Amino acid sequence: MKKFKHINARTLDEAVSLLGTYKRKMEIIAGGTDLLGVLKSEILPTYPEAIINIKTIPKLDYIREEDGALKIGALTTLSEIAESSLVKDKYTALAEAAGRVASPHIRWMGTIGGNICQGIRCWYYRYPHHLGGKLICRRKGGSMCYAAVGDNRYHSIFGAVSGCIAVNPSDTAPALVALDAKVKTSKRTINAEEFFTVNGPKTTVLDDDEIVTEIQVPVPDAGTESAFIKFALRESIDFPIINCAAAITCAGGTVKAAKICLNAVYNNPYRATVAEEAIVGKSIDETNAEAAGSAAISGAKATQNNKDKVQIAKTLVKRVTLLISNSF
Amino acid sequence: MGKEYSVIGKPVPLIDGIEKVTGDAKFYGDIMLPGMLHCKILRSPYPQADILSIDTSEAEALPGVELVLTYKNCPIAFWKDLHYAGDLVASVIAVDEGIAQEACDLIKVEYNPKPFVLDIVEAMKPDAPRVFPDRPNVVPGWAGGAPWLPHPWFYYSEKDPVTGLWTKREFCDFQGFGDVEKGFSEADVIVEDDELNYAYTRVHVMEPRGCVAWFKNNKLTVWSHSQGLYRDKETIANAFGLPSNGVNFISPCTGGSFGGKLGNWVKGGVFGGTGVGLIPIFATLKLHKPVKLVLTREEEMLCGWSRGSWSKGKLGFKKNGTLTTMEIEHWVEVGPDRCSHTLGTCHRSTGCMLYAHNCEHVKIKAGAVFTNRFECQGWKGYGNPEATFLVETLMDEAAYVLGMDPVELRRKNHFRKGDPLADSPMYSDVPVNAQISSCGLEECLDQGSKTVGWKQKWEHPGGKMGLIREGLGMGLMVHGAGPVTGASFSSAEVRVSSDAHVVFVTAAADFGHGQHTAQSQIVAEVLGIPYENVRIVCHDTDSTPYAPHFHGSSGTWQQGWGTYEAALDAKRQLLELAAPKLGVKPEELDIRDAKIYVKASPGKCITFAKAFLVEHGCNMIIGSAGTWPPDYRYVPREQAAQFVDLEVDTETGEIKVLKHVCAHYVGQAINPKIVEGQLHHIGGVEAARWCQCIADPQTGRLLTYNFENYPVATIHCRIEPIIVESPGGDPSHPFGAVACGEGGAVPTTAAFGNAIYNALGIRLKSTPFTPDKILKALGKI
Repeated sequence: MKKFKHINARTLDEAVSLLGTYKRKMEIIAGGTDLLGVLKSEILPTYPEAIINIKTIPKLDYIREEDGALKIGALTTLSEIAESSLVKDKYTALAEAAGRVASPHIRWMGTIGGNICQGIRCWYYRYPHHLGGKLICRRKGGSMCYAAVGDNRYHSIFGAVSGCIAVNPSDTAPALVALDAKVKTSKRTINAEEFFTVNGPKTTVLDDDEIVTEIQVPVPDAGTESAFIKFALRESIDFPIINCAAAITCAGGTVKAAKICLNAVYNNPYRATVAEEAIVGKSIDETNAEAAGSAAISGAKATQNNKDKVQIAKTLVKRVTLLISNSF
Repeated sequence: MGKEYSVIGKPVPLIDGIEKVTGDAKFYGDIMLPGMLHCKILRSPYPQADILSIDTSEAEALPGVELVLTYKNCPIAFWKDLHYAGDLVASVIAVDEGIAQEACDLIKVEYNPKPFVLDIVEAMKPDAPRVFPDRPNVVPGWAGGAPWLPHPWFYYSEKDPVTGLWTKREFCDFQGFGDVEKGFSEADVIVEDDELNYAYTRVHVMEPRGCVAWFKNNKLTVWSHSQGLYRDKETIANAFGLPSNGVNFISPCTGGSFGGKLGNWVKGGVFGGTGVGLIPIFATLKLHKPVKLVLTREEEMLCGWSRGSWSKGKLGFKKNGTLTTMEIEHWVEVGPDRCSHTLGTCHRSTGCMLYAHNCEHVKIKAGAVFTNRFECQGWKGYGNPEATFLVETLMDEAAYVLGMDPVELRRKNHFRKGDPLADSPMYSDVPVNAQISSCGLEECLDQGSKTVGWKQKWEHPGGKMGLIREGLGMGLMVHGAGPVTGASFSSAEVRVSSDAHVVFVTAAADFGHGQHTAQSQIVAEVLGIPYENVRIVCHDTDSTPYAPHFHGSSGTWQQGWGTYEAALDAKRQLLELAAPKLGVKPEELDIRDAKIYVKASPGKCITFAKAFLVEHGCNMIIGSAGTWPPDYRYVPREQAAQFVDLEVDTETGEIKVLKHVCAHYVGQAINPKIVEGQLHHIGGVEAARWCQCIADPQTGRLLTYNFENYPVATIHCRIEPIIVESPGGDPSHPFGAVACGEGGAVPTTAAFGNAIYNALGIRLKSTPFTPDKILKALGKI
């Protein structure tokens, strides 16, 4: 690890102004569970001059329901969200997702803000500098995507974005998309889906001087249930091979509305709109759930190494749908 | 079971347990010395390259840098030819790690990258790029001494018809005995399989490799982890041409080793192929300042690989299931490890030992294969898991072909006590007529199958339908442990005070396997004192008596005689002192509960203090011994049976383990808690389920460089240990112990593969059994 300045921000305004001062030569730290790995392995072409600690900003750690929405402060830890009875009861997918992130230690450290802003896990992107030199891949401004020609078993099944086939690894992101959440930042409030829809080598649309401050999840309509499931090698401790969240509104045994989101299959959380269309207006049974699963992977472009992910994605969409139907 | 002991066989707490859980225990990483310097290593970006030029001037000019080492000024640790991505190019020694790392980036190197090979099967092809230009990639045979030379194999040409023991061993171009052609022609059923592949996997330890070295006043002191303090000290002295008393090797606690820190001898020389020992030692000899090197976790992941194998086999049976003939071809990947004992990790003879009871004809062809995939080292299992994967997969296939229960097929064929030691060429210094000293396999099969519910649940595969399919599988194993004449001399000193407390001094290393506890139990048992009265001192080679380097899961066995004899020597002296005071002869006395008593009338007793009084004139007795095991003809073997009950999700390819039972024969458990700990052996589970070396096909870089990409097993992988003992234990150890440790990883992949076959009717031939392979086998993708 190289030397850098460590600055404790006391207010949001101070943090934002520090971001302006250091331009791109800084990083924000909250839980640090993602950032420390980046710094220790020296994976990026540039190294930050300063780390701005936002944990010292008061009142960014809360879970409350007000004005028709669940509001979660950006510094709220994943374990607080996973254990909140309010979140578990009404925003099940989010509580489940937060509870399936990594290990207890990381859930105690990691924040919701950090979880949705985290970087990719591509093993080429993260190659440690001290093992023969970092790999300057497409995402870092290099000319090639090592994964595209290399071992891409954990990479995108829906193609590349800007020549990069890495996937978004967040567990909470698909839950927020399925629950139609909004992300409030130091300068705006945007839909979660929009927040993750990026075309370049980033995981969010945040500007360089922008900080996530709050997550807002609208109170679900009556008759709505949500769920989250995750497929990983070693249960929760691993990043997902694929995860899937859904929120479904039913009336009289028929699906009125559905939002289904896969993650770790594409550069951003992948809203399976075709699957949603396939299930809306129908009852949830094995056949219809299976059809939704198949619809979700229409247009999949697996590589030679990750065809299993297509099969698993299909299964997860089916299972999450069936899981929700059991809640009604 | 067996004799009544007061300390042996009891689950006493670890002697260093409290120190370790409170963080009080010291490891080499805790050593901080005044003016200590730190090393960082520059590593190769290419899997195969020559260094054309190297310019260290800028690095040397950086303030804080004291020394830069390359092949030019430190040829013992650095070479001009590089053979894996991450190979050692240079090292910077500086006042702190940050400066050292910064200076590494200032070294300018011009490389000539060359073709490379990352796959064992590819490497075996005649036109494959050579890992070393001066020798082929394939090294046939056992290669212990001069590894790059094809080494002669042993063929047993004569057997005593009465005893059934081997009487003559000759050199040959394969290994084995009997006549396989004849065997197969007479067999009723022949089962064969090929292209079984055990993935290249690795040993991981919580404490990364490294050391601190300080050359001062013409004496070198080294602090490091160790499996054998004296061996490490001798290796260092030899490597640097120092007199053996010019080196003091200090080993504080060792944070796990599992064989991976045993080290090798030439390139990389000290503490494993990484050269981590060589760099700081070379630097301190030059600078006369303390120098420390600690590998990062990612660097640690570059070393300690092993196990990759490609094998095929053929078994011949009589109709009734009697195994008569075995032919095996077995190749083991050793990375670019040209000079170490890892070339010998082909435990090819495992199968013929396991089934030595009936098998009359054996032919084994085996060897090592070089690739450009990272540093290879022997570790827990030492070639046996991959050999057993082959043999136990074949046995499972045979059971189905023969229409027999797999457990019954094993029962019929496994070795018995007194059978010839058919795998002894592994240990060429074992007498040719050696025989197995005890067998617990029958009991392992009984208890294991009972616990998993084999009789109630097992059924032939094929008919199972449904989304989730359950399967049962098993694997049997034997592991070459016990005597190696060169590594079984042990010694100890037992200092008995008049208050019946003992300081027990030995260089017997404890690298997390509980050896200090087990050996202290032996001392307490022999002296008839409470375990709590023993304190162990195992510090360095200057002040503690010799112990061998522990390996082959045999620490308890290797050190057992030395400890036992030293304690016995103290006891003898003590009884001689006590005898006149009790008015009897020493042989009429014994000790229990720290009292010396007359055997014929136990009420007549005195304390140690009374025995020490007057005549002795001091308050200490020193018992000591240096000894070899008394007999090499009766040889113990580690033995086990594992059973797996699992479910396969046919939609996702996921495996869920319902029950994993490990029944392990240990002769006599010195400490059952420690033995249980050994049996919670996750190495086999992770190899069966998730773990493999993945190198980027384009760049040769290691992609499994952390525990995220190399998903090691966790505490959730539950194993149910069953300790199997025999009355009186094994006759080769003073307290009946048989080696225990490595075997836990050995039959696991076979047991998992066999359970998957039982669930799906599909045979997976390469580890790990990941979801993608299962989905593919099911035709889902």
